[in-house]
Amino acid sequence: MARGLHWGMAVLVGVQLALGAMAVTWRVSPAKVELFFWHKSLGFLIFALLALRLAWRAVDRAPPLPAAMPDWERTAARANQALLYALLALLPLSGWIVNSAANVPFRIFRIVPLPAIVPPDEAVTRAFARVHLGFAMLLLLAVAAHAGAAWRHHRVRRDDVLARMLPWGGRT
Amino acid sequence: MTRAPFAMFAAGALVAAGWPSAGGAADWKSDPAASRLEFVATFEGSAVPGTFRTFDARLRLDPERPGEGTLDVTVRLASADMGIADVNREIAGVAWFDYAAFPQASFRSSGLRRVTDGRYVAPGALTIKGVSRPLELPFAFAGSPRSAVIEGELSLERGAFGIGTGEWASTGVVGPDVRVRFKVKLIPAE
Repeated sequence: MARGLHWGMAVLVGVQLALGAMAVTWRVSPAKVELFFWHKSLGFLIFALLALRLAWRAVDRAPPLPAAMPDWERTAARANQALLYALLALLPLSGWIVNSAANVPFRIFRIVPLPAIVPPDEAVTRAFARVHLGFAMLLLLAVAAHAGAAWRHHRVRRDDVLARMLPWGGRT
Repeated sequence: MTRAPFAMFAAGALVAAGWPSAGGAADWKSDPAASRLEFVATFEGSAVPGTFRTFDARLRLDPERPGEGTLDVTVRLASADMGIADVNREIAGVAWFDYAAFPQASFRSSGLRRVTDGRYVAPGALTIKGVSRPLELPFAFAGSPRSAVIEGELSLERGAFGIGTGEWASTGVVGPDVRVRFKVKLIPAE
């Protein structure tokens, strides 16, 4: 379950970053509107999956880190993981603020109407669009650090941290 | 000889006062501060309301002889406000209203038709973006000698007027129909 959520969200977040980058750079057209529509809908799906994932984590504790890991690595691993979770929540929230301030009506997957959480304001729209972009950049860095650390566990430390997380790996 | 000028003056005064029993036509104009012209478009399946802030309506109505009446409306397209900054910028362009080439939209009726008490239809032509289409504009009229209100609602197809051309002509993102609503306060035009 934890692995399924991890890899499922990894794929969705990758698609989401690509959609977001395409949506903002696309020339104004119906295609741009569609890109934003899918970006926003997917954002709420990721937000919901994050909630599910944190709930699951509270019930089913993650396996312990290898005993050989020095303290600074443990701290760094926990800090980066906390940053990843925080960004996965802050990105949809800041996007929601952008959408609200821009006063754009939106139904998640054309089904659930999204209420506005801030009043219409162009300055707020621009400011939070920058915040949203900043969070996305930070997420890319955090994901790179996370993947780099996993690779280091596998190739340098030669422990099972990456292997036990792989979708095709056996249950540990 | 001395009485004729007085008689002419008296008759003139009666006409100027809009003598009610004479059943004369009343000329009205819109009171901008108390009038609304709104529309509702659809975007990704959600309703997006908009308003035209500047427009002018003129009504000539004699309830006894509606056929001789007229309803003329002129709308400054650039006064459109859809409440979304990006959309407001976009609709100014050539694909949408094209403010630069077509600053105004207009409706000109040829006569009025009474439907029931206080309800009329104004058959005429609606011109937007240089495209004229026949339109039967329904409205309700309620008034006293000093002020009146007309209100009504109709649906327009944006494609018929070339509003949203090229790739926007497809109706998947922006729907084909636009609901138009107006409530106009009228004051005597004299």
